[in-house]
Amino acid sequence: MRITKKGIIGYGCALLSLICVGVLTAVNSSLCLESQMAAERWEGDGTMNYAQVSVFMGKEAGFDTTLADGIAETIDAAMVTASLEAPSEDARLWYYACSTPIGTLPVSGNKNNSGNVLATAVGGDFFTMHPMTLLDGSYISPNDLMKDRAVLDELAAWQLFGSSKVSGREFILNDQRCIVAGVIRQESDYATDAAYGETARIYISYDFYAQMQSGGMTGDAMSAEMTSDMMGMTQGSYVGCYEAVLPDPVRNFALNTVTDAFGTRDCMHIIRNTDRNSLSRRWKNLCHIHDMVISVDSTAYPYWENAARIMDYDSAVLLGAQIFFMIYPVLCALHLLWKGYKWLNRFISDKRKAHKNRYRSAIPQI
Amino acid sequence: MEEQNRNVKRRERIKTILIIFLALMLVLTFFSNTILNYSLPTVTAQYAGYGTISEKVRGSGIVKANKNYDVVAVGNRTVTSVNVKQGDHVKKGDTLFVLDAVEGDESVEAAEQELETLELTYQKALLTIAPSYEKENQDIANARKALQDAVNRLNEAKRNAGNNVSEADYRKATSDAQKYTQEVTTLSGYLAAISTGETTGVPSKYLSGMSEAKSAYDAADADLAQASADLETKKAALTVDSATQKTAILALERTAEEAQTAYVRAKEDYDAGGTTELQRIMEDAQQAAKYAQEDVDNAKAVLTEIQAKEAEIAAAEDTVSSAQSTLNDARKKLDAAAEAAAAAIQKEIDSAQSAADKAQEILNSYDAEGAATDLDALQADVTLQEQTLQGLIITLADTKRNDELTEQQNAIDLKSQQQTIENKKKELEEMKKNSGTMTIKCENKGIVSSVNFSAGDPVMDGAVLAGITLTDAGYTVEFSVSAEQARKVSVGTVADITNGYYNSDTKATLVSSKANIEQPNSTDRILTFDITGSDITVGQMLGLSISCSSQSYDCVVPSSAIMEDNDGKFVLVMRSKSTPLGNRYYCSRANVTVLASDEMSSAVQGDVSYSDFVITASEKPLTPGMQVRQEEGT
Repeated sequence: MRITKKGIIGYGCALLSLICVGVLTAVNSSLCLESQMAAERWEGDGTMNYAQVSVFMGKEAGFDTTLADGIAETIDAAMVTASLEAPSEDARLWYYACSTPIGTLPVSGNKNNSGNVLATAVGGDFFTMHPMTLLDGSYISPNDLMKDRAVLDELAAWQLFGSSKVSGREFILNDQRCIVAGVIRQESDYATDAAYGETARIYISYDFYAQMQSGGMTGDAMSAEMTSDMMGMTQGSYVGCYEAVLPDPVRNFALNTVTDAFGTRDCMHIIRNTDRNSLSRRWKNLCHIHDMVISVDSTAYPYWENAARIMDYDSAVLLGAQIFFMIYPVLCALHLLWKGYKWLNRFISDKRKAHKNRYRSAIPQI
Repeated sequence: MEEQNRNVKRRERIKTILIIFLALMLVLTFFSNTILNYSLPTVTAQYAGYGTISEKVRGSGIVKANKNYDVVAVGNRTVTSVNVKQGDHVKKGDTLFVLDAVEGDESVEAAEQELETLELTYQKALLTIAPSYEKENQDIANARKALQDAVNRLNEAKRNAGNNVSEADYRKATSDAQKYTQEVTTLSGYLAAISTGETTGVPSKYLSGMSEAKSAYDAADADLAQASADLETKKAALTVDSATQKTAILALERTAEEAQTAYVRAKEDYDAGGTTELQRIMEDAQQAAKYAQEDVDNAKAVLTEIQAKEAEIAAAEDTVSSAQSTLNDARKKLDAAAEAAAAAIQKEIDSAQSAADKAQEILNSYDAEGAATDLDALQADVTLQEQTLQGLIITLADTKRNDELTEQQNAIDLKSQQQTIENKKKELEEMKKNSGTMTIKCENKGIVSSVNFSAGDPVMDGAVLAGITLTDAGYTVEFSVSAEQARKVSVGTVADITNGYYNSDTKATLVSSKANIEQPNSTDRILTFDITGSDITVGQMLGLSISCSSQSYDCVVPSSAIMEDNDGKFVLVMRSKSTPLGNRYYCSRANVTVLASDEMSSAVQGDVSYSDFVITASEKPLTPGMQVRQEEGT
């Protein structure tokens, strides 16, 4: 088979396309967030498969911390029904985390440093689900004796105290005395940076949130309707995001368990985070890429979900690019196969002719 | 030549590429450690060691004084001078305010007027009239007289009633007449019933003879009915009588005889002629004679049956006539028994009638004398008069009792009015005495918490001029905690002041933990602290921190080092391994159990030991076995 200059250029382009596909695949594979890898971290070296499921709810869903306890009991019962149990007495089979975006609250530290922060109420094992880098102190937990502790992000710590090493210091949050439990830094990737924003953030417990509510909220933390909604809730605080890491012995077991536990509610979206990076999910996102950029109800996603959705979008676009760049190499491969087939045919027929001639020549002519 | 040059150039090119490649490898080798290190996640670590776990319960509250007292104005006055201000320390006897009387004060005149009114009311109350019961006594006397008259009339009536007739006799005569009359009526009813044959309701002593006869009569009647029914049945079964049947037999015999005669003639003709036709005629005649004879035989059989049935009917008729005669006999006996019973009853009727007539005669004689009819009315009158008298006596007793009570109440009211008058007199004397300039002095040691009036202000009687916090009574701070937090603290613990000054001598001691009564449904508790010190201000916000019971542990790590997965809690311990390129650090998993924890540290036990280098924070999540590098400066 003779290789012409045109052929070299053509196959060179195909090789380049393949390299592009390889690079895009590598980039696509790197698009994942730690907040979406909770199931993998929880699995450890065990043999049981786990999956992370997130439920995002608007105010209309009417979900509060009291109901979260009920959901936990329902899921526990489902685990028992499925004969799933923790590997040892000290271990837990599954865990969950809750969070609610409270809004902007006034805050002041020492030496008249003050400002506004975006506050989020957290519960359950929130910081196990979102292992943000701890610069100082420790995370808060529902098992803490005192509920007036808060976790600041790096920006909030600098804004109030001028340093990150400020665990144990006191500050005032919305006229309530608060103690710094720890200082964290969020994930550093382009999507999280875009979704996180420029405002400092603070994480408080639901008990402290309830205490602030009973003491009266000030500042522009809430719109009037949200305040009246909170006043209507006599039993628990509104929960906007519920995340769980559950065993997933068969596909969608965790998703179905959570879906059954929550039932039907208005303004609720349930997402299986674990297979976000799978090819099938990326293909589905690519086919419905318009759905990713519109919102049909009042559900507000937290920044980590917005970052994940940015990555989902980019991943779908990259998949599209991969498919585009793959077209030419595939066509070239097909062409090569066709040419190879023809060459093989010609080779075989030549060989046959040659054999015939040799044979004919060996037979004496009568 | 050209090819030689080309080869040389090619060799040079290859040599250059090789040199560049080797130089690059060398550089990378030298800096490989650095490059590798920069790719490793950075961690901070700390040694696990002996430590104390001590939880703290925090809260803040406003300082309140245990005792306050208010300085109050007496009378309507004007403030001449104010000798204290808020925050001043005062002691007993210090002059606080100087007050003057208000010009044109009408309070004394009003008090005198009021006193006069009270004395007038008292004098009027002393003038009372004693109660009189003459009317009631007169009524009682009249009632007694009426009663006596009624009794006298009754006794008179009894005396005039006649010697042979007593009330009992009259009543007996009346009841006897009624009894015998009733008896006559009853017996007449029995007689009527027997005469009609209906004996229901008639006592059995009158029916003793009749019952047997009636039973026999009923039995004979039943037999007659049965026999009659049997006879009718038999008659209905007989459709043709024997005479009719005999007539029919006679006719059939004549016919048979004729048929026989015809046969004989036909036979003779045949014997004579011997033709076929004659033979046929003979045979027909023979046949006819035979049939005729059969008809006669059948009819005779039927006659026999009919005669049997007629015999049965005759027997049944005999039975019926026998039953009828039996019934007639039974009827006669029954009638005789009824006549005997009726006679007995009539005899009794006659006896009762005569007794009733006699009793009526006696009664008529008593009525003619008119003896017993007035006694009842007179007796009723006596009873009425007695009741009337009793009622009047009881009413008088009630009236006297009520009047006594009223008198006692009036006496108490008078005494009260007297006391009021005495008090008013004293008050008036006091007002007259205080109508001049007044100095208000401090009654107890304390700090002035508020001053409500300035010099020149008018004050009304009872107005609060100032408030004084008594320093000797102490201060308290209260705040609410959850039930779990309250369980961790114990009464008597001294709390740390979190927002106090460095050299301050303020001390806070937990004195009580009680339920929150303002929110009964809440499980929260109220912690109360006793505050002592020299620079305490009422109303200041005090932050307190109480240490819960602390305990020492052999292995204490920072709380941020504890991680968890589905296998339980663990910490990552940093271990080092020596390599040709220097020390390499990697993390290894150590399973632990958390024994206790506070806000900063946790006591653990498990695979971690004292002096293990435990990773407390990292810039990205770690997995056991991962290579790490330590943050510079830690």
